[in-house]
Amino acid sequence: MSCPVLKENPEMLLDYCARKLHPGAVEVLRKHIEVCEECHRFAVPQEQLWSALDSWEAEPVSADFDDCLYARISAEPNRSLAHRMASVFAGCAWWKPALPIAATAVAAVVMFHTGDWSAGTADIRENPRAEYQIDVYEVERAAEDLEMLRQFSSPARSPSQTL
Amino acid sequence: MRALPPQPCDVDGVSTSMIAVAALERDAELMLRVRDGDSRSFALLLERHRTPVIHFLYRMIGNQAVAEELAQEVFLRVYRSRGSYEPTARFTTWLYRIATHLALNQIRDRRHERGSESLEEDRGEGPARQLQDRGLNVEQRMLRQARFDEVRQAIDTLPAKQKAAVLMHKYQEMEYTQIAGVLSCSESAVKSLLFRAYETLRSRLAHLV
Repeated sequence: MSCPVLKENPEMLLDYCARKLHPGAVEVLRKHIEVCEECHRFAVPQEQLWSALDSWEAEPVSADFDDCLYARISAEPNRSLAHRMASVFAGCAWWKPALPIAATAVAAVVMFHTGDWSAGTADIRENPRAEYQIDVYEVERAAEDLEMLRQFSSPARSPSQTL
Repeated sequence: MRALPPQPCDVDGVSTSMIAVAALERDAELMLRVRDGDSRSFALLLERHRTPVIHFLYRMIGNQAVAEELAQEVFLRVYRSRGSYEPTARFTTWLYRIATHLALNQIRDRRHERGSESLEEDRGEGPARQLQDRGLNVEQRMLRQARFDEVRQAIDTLPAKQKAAVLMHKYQEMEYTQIAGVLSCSESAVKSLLFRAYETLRSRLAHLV
């Protein structure tokens, strides 16, 4: 590989084939591709591939998608306790491997507790002796969501990642 | 917020980069309103991102019904996390990170259940995929369907992260930095992913191009 474009800035060729380059840069690169055999060998099949990929059309979305989503959201208020419990675990990264076990243990305690609730949701305060069915999977999933949010708040992120 | 590269101006004189930046800021603004209890802002975000997210998941999973189910889960998680939202990253980066995470889990779980994936199995799960006619004769429709199937199969056999990178680059038209944010890797790693993926696709689809 001797062409400096391919060696030092190959994504420019990719962007050219993806029609994402500024018109000025497109014209310059087009002239270069006409005379550079290496770039020509890359660009021509890549442009054709790009056009072939256009044939993969997506299907239309179901008409009731939004209705189904809002129905699920309407069922959300009872999850507030699970989400709060999950936020306790989400802040402790070292707990993560034990999270499923911890969530199960907490759920078991909640399900069998019939004593005085000093802190909890309004529903619990209205009916303090009610047994609450806590979905363990929801606790774990809520913790996962919060962890993803927490990662975006971290000041540094390791660039290394196995591919 | 990182500046976008210069782009040609539209007819009205408004640059497309300015429009893109405005859209990104609008997403963050809407999500902050959702955080503050504004349900109409959630509806606007849903309207804007519903279809692209479903299309992305459909191309990742290969089944429309499952894709819509996962998309529901994506927006449900966005809604659940509204109280903790802070605009430290682009809204779409966060959104597609959730979507990619769910899709990769689905692919992994499906492989465990079935042993191997095949196009025939995907077709068996839902209604037969019918491409739009658009005035084509029978032979042209068949050729088009065959081309579509080959493209789909070629992408489907890519490693999961390469597949996700290609779909975000090609169909969601994301920049390298944003794909890197979604996949939690460096920008150079994304470019490496894409170059390997496109090289594989050029090889597999050489007879089509």
